[in-house]
Amino acid sequence: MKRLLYTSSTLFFIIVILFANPYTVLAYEGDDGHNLEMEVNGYHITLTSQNEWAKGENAIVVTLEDSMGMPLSNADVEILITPKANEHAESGTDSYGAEPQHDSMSGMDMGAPATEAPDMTAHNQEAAGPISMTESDEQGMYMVETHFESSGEHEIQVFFHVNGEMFQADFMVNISGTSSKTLVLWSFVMVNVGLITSAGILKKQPTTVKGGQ
Amino acid sequence: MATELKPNNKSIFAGGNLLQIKSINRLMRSKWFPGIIQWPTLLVFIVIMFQLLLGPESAHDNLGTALTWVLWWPLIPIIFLFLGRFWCAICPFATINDLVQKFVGNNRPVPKFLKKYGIWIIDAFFILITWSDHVWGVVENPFGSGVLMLTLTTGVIASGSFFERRTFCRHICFLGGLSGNYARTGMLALRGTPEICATCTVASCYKGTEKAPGCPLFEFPKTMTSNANCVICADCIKNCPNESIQLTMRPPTKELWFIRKPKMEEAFLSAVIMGIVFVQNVTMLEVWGSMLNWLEKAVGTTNYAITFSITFAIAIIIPVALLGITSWVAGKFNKTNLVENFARFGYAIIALDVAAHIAHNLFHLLAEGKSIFYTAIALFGQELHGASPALVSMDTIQILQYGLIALGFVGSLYTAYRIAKNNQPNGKIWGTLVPYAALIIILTVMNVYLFMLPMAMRM
Repeated sequence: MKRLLYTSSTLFFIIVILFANPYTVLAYEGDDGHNLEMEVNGYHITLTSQNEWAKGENAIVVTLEDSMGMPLSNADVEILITPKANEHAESGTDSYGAEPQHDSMSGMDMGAPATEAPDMTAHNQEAAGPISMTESDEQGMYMVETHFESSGEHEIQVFFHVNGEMFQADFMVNISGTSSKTLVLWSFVMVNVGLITSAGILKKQPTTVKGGQ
Repeated sequence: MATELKPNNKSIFAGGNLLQIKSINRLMRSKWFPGIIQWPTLLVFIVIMFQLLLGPESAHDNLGTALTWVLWWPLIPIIFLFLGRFWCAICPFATINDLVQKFVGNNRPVPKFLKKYGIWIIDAFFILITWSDHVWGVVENPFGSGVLMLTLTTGVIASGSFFERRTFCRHICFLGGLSGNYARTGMLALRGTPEICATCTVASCYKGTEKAPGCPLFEFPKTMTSNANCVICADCIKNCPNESIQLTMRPPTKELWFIRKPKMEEAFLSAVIMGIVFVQNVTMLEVWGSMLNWLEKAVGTTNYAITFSITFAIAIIIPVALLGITSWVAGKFNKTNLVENFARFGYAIIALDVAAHIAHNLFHLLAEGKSIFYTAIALFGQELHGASPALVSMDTIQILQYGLIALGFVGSLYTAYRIAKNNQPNGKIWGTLVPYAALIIILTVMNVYLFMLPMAMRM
């Protein structure tokens, strides 16, 4: 009985400490660790996913600043998402490996891409054509919701027009198969189900009860 | 055996029994109390969890963040002041504990080390969670807040599964420690009637009956002298066959004047809370960025975990050290050792703690209060762009903050006086009080100064 008591107490504290562990929170802390940044002709472009670049629904955010660090408002911003060939297979890992493709960045004047403005929510838009982004309440921040059908490497091209001139920034991102948020939630579910199940099994043994709730 | 309660004709404002008021008596004895408040609270908690974990990723747009950090967190110290630890009776974590316990609870006794070191563990958790919030941005990140809630949920599930009653709430919950300290200033007190309890041999209040379980926080109203661990769940009122339990109103802070067995860990927590209020204020000041830059240059790293930890340690050490120095100085006059003075007079700071805590959070409640409405209507597709989240002007908020700090100052000063009066011979009262009065003035000035500076918002 005493041993059981100590085992369960220890288990309880391990669980609490485990979930108070920095990595648990750090992994889902926010976007800071998932930002991709690039300079194009003095413009600073930040590309962020609000779903940690995981397969499924994603809100993609592009933030534009000029060379003075001031937000670039009222720009026409579009993104083109292209899955890289032969890399659509489920990676089966939760690795996060997004990195900007610095060598492809350019400020070249391009012909206007497709100017059709699709709906804000753009499902199955991978490689279908550029998606227009909508400026949010915050100046210089543009958003679009999209859906990554597959995991693996994707090329994300950001096009933005300033004073009639178009600039482009190309990023490479690795879309993971499972969101780490999902993993955390399932971990909690499993730990709690485990605790309740263990308690249910142990309850069969007679114990002294003092007015429990 | 039943002893009839002598009629108490005192006014409820002069310590009369609130249970003599029929409506309150009926409510407290009802089988629906506190469930009628507890279950809706659990439903709101589920909505909050859903929003935090699966809702908008930006705190600015998340109803869970607004309800947790703009509404609930500022309101609870106010609840502690008026209703003691009543929040703990309806807390969703406690409800989850009770539910799990009902179905699979093993009801094992509380481990001895929790009984022995419980408040120190609570102190450590409180410091750790506050530190984590700043370093990992729990409040600003809905999912981070959700993970914190899930961690607490796991804690209560573990506790409810294996241990009796509300072990987690009594011995581990960081908020329980905070609320225990704050509830001592509370205006609502539940106690047994000494002359009735003296003849009682059944102890139904502790053991429980078919009407209600025993005290969930292991209290025995017969000997209870503090509000720190009474959640006013009314189980003892339902269980007592002698109608001994009284519910009375009392002046705020009164309990602090007569602490029979002061505990070092509780006094330490009161000083720590003051430090935490300082750090919460400092990191929300607009000058925090400049301070951080200076600190980064001084220590040669831009690692926020390091720079914040230094700031955090300093903020906590200041009030603890000041209380220590004051206790040493007071010891020169009252010939009492530092530890005893520290433990006894640490309670005097609690009034200022509560006032500063409410004042700090009042900013969030009143300057960002409308964000609760905005994020709620956003769930139904309605958006208000550019609308101010403020309920009142900044000038009004500052006046209220100064007013609260003034009340806290008076409360702490008077408490220090009463503690000195109750524990020192006549000639030593003033010699003991003066150093603590100086400490309370210093802490008050520090708080006022911080509230004078512009503060950043949470949402």
